Amino acid sequence: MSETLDLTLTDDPDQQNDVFVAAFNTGQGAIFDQLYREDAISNLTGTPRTGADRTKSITEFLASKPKLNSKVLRTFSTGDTSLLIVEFHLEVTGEDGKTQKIDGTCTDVLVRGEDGKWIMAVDRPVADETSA
Amino acid sequence: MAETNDALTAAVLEHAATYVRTFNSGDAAAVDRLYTDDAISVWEKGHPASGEERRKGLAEFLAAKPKLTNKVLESYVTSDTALLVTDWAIDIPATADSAAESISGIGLDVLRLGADGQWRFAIDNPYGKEL
Repeated sequence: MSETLDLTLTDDPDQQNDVFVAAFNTGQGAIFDQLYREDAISNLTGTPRTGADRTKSITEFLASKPKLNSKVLRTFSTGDTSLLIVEFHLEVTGEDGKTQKIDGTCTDVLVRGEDGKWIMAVDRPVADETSA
Repeated sequence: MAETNDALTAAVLEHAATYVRTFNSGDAAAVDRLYTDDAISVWEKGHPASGEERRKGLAEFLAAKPKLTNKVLESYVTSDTALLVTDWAIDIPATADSAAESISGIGLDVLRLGADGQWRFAIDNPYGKEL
């Protein structure tokens, strides 16, 4: 039932991205949410959420088994703070069974805690504007 | 919890306002104090600068007496880390050698709260997701 997934984030932004994608694609909020600091702010579900509210909404969202693919475009990193600009492609399945594709750019802020490990502090995905 | 976050957000927005005032005063040393020691600035697309290069670039830029206006579009503030989305513009006055110039962008800036209780810019990325 439970998969073995190493959630350790190294200094390498591509490795960080790979871990996020793998954790996201498990569909299990309990796994994915471990990548976030308790007070982290996530906009993944369309509005800024933190704490228990974030965990709950992320878990509900991932239960619908959305599929994520993403690529790091740019990284700026100091010793303990990192800004990632990521291109993402998301496939979500609605209650009607229809698949919807969402492409966009995500801004991620990761910080290194006192334990030396990187963890997500803020994420902010923005879908591309569809050309009308 | 909500109050705490409101207070933190107010402190971060105050820092952003202080930055604009200090920048427009032209005092490079004072502006530099609004950054962390190891901050990264990306004033030139694709060219992050830190340390002495960042300080020198800032001082040279301020010598041209640029005027900054800034509007914070979005703010995400945790206990010690903040992301700001900013809509900014800078007017650089004409000199004997060069015409007046205006630059602008949508910035993605990261701030950290120091042990002394002061917020500072850690990553100053004025062109945001433009790469």
